[in-house]
Amino acid sequence: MLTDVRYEDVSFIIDEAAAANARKALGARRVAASRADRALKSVLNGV
Amino acid sequence: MRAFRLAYDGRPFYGYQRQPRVPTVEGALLDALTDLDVVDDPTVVPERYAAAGRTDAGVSASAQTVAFVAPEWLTPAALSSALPATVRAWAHADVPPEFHATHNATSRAYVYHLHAPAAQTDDTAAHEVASRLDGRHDFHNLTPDETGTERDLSLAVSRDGDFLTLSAAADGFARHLVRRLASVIAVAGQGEADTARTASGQRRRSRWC
Repeated sequence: MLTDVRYEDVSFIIDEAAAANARKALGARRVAASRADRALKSVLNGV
Repeated sequence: MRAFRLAYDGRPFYGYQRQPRVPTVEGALLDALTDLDVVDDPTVVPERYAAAGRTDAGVSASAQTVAFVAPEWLTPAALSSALPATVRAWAHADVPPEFHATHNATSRAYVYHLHAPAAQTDDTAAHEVASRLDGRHDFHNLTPDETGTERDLSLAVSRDGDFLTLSAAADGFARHLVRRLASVIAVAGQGEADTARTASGQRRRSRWC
């Protein structure tokens, strides 16, 4: 899973509502623990 | 010119990069931009479009970064409104016109979660192989690329319950390198350290530096 990309002199503005929506939308797909779901969990934690 | 952070569940997709006739993350993004009238045709990318990196089929991302000439109103929420539920934009940055999401990236980080219960895994071997791969090496044996195979790689393995977590970071990665690194660590953890060393090129080649 691609978890970070960094740039010099670029500051991202996090859209908290969009991030929350992302967690909710992607989190709805969560099922029992597996490799893929562990990866998805990290997606959610990273947002 | 605007850069966006994207998170996606990669399982339904045949990788990031668009391909004909199969669903890809980039295809979903271009479809969304077409629906939003940012572009006229999903086969044409927006002006100065670039993505930070490609992900393979089934691979997810929490911070894929794309940048292109975008209208002021195109916020992460607006973009997400036209994306499928498995892809979400969650941050943005206004960047200079010369910004290139691929070429200007100074580092990329990947995490792989290997299902490897402790009772069935040789953690010491996995750590040993990871430590050998950490640092500046020529990874030509782990990529089909002919150039750009020498990389200064930060590689670490840690245990998280039934999983081994492989964290890899570098300024860039040759094709298939991350997935093959994960395979090498997995093989080492399965008690086949010799196989892992051979696969990683440590016995056969002397081009490590």
